Amino acid sequence: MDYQEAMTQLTRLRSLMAAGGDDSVFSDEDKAVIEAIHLEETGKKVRDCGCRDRYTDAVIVLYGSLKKRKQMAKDQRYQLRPGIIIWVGTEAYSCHNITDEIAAAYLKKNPEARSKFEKLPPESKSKAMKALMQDAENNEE
Amino acid sequence: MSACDGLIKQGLPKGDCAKLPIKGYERRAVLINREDIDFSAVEKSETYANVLTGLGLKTGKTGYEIYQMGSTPYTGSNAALESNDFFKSVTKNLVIAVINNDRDVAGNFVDPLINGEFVAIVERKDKGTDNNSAFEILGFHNGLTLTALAEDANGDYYNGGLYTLTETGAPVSRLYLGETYAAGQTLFESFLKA
Repeated sequence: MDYQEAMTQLTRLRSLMAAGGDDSVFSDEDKAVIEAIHLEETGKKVRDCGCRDRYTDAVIVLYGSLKKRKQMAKDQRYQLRPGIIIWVGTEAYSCHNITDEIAAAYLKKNPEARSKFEKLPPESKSKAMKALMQDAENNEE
Repeated sequence: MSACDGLIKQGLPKGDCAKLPIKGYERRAVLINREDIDFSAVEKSETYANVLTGLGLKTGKTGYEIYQMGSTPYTGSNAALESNDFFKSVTKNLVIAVINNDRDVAGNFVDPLINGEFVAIVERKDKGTDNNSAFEILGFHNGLTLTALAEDANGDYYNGGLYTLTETGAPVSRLYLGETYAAGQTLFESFLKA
């Protein structure tokens, strides 16, 4: 599923929740869609509990995180390690809210921070390597 | 650092009377397999000797949320002085209650606890001045291992059990996560899948 398709589905599901209510507003097909997006985004099934709002909760969380990130998790080119945060001004970013734009800008300014990331695009590594080689050359001179 | 020179660096003033002490831990904690921690990605605060600003995990690894019911989560968790011939240290205990009989919990949580080694992040209800001392790391130095297992089908923990994880020989009384509450909370959540 791509980002546009996921957001279209989540927007539709949110509209079903607009009048309030719990998981009863969703059909079995809706629940299957939520399960599919949740599994794709988080690698986990929707939490298993006897509660009546586990699908509505999942829709709220998925919509919020996708809207902020503007891409599916699988399409993210940069991923911070769990347990690591980076600061941009007064904002702390973790693996949950980092965007490719912010990560790229941060790494451009702090190329030594690439070890904080568990996923990097290949060109980013080569740029960082080029910067290191340039530094080494400058030091030799 | 006090463990090295044994010299205190400040007194114990009266403090802010508007901020009354509170007992206990919050309900949510994170448990991490210690071997999943990438110790080369550990970041120490440049300002505070007992604060970590980063505790990176190895690629693809995650922490696991522990949720405790009741008004005194993790009750029985404590710390005590450990006296050795040449160096004193701290023993820390984390007590986790499981209240359900469930084959997945037994197989995926309790059984690995028996021989595993772990690091836990807990959040104290008393979060300290400006909330900057909320998140505490247990097991960072020597790992938490299971030292007691108590199951009593008619007891307070119903058909689950009570499991005590212990770190011995910790060289510091408290090790905090994040220099501020916001940083600690962001780090805490980052261990868990979205």
